[in-house]
Amino acid sequence: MALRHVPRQLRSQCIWLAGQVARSTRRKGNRSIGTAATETESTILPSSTGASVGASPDSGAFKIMSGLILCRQPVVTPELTPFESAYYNYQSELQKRLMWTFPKWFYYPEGTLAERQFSAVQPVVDGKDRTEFEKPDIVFNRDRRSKQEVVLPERDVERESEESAKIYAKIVPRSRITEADKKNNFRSLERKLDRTLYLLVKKDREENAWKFPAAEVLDGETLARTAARLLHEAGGLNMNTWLVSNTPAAYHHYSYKPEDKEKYGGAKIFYLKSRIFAGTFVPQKGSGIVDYAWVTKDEIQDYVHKGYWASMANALSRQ
Amino acid sequence: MAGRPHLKPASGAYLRSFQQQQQRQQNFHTTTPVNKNSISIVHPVHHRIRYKKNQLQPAYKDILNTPKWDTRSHLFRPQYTQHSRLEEHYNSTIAPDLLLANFVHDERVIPGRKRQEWDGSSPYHINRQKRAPAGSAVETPEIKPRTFKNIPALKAIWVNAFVREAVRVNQERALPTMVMMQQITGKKPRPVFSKSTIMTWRLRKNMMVGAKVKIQGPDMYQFFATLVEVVLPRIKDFKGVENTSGDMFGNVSFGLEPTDVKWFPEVEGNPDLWPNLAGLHITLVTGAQTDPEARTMLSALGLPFVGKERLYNVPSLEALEVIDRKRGIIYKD
Repeated sequence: MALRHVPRQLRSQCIWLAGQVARSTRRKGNRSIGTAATETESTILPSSTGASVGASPDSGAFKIMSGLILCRQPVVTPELTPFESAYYNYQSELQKRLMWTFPKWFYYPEGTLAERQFSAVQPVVDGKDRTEFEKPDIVFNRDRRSKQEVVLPERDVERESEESAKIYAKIVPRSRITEADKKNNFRSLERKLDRTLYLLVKKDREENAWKFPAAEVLDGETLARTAARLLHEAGGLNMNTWLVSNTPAAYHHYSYKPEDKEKYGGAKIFYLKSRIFAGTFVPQKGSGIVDYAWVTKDEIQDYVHKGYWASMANALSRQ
Repeated sequence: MAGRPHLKPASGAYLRSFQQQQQRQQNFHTTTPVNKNSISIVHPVHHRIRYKKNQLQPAYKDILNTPKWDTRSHLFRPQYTQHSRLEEHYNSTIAPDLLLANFVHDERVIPGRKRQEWDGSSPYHINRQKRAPAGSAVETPEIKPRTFKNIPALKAIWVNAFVREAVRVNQERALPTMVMMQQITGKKPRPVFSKSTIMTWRLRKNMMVGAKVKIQGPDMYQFFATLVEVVLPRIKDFKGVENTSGDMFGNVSFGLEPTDVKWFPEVEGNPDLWPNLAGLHITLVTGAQTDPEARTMLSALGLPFVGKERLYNVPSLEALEVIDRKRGIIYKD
């Protein structure tokens, strides 16, 4: 799906070019790769893609990493705010007020038993329920000054067939608040069904322990390949996921502390977005992951520091 | 006025006392006192009423100045009566994904076929209108780089029906289909009249032969959701919309047979009321620039596609190289 409009021969070169742009300039601020523009007017692209992304002995070089924004999309419709509920209620009342008169003659033809039963249960419309000076405006048994009340006759349950009983059986929806919500189980994918959940992992260190998973891009790998490898190495094989695009959704860079600067001076991480549809994330041994959590966008701010949040916020969905 | 016996036009139309006008302005959605020599405009009417703007008294100019979204306007129609489920899903989940998926690094504008200038080899070329585009009868739009401003979205749905019986038998045969379209879309359709006379088909000009309706907004999303979740799954041997069904610029069309139309809940609930129904043509107008983009977006919304793709508007390697050479990018083999 990615780079669909670029012919196959050029795709790898485009990825290489993106890498060159990211490496050559140190970008201040936290813009995603999408806003990067080519620096040169005239560029000669090589035919091979063997350009190595790896280290140089110079400590100014950055480690290129591929990160993963793994998210579970909302399962139920969003919770409405009081204002939204009030607004929709008001608009639906207005609609009922302006609605056309119910065409009884069409659905209950005159002379039928159904029509007789229907008419028997309708409220009396004589315009006397309003204490205004206006003359009642009643057409087809509807007072046009207000919304129409249509009452459906009760179903004759005894004479009904099994099939229609199934159709009219009341649907009882499951609760929107799950067990995970009640117990505040942050490791569960069933928490907060109306929001998008993002995967955060905890590494064994003091500062900035919580973050989105990331791994170094090795020789011969693309960002997407690294992300797939990372997913299996970190969370196991028991997940049904889908990579949205090869285009990174977010970008973050940081410098290492002077004592940590051996091979690289810092890291540049390109985050790819992926969706989980089924399965569970199980932290694997040897991945360095101590803990994990599925959190909403608002909750991420409690886990990560400001600069990191600023890099990631725009890639995350509002709902 | 024909068809509306309860409203009487009069020579003294729109003549009202100042008192009545004040009362009208204070209460909206109430009936004004019925006078013999007047037409009620603010009256909550269920259908359109024609009035001539230049004949309106100055006091009634308020009617023209009241915007459509104001509840006091006679044109007011509530739109969002509940939270649109599919629209919410599109905005929170699909649109951000599409922005990423459609992004092309360092994308350039791909020019469309435009009208050409005459080369000036003849003196008669001066002031002559431009030539037809090369390789096309009409101009085609250019394809712009994908940004957050042009994410493909479902803009409108046209539902259109041609009723063959209306030509062969009786024009009134088109009416049940028109009513059915109103039921399933929630909007009153307009009749479609024939434009030519063809004796062999017994077709005359200005015969009512069908109906069409355009739906947008929450009604459109509701209709699309019903189609995708209720109607299409119940059609026998339906695997998906053909991949060849686009119009090259991001609009997709498909049809429903008369036997398929009856799976709409409004029709299925009262099968006796709909004895003779015609099929429908459904056109999905998206904001996509190319067909593959439109199909990606629609399949994200739940509409399946089958068959071999035909890639129009996806430029070839040679075409891209020409564009790039102009920008100074040269490819070495």
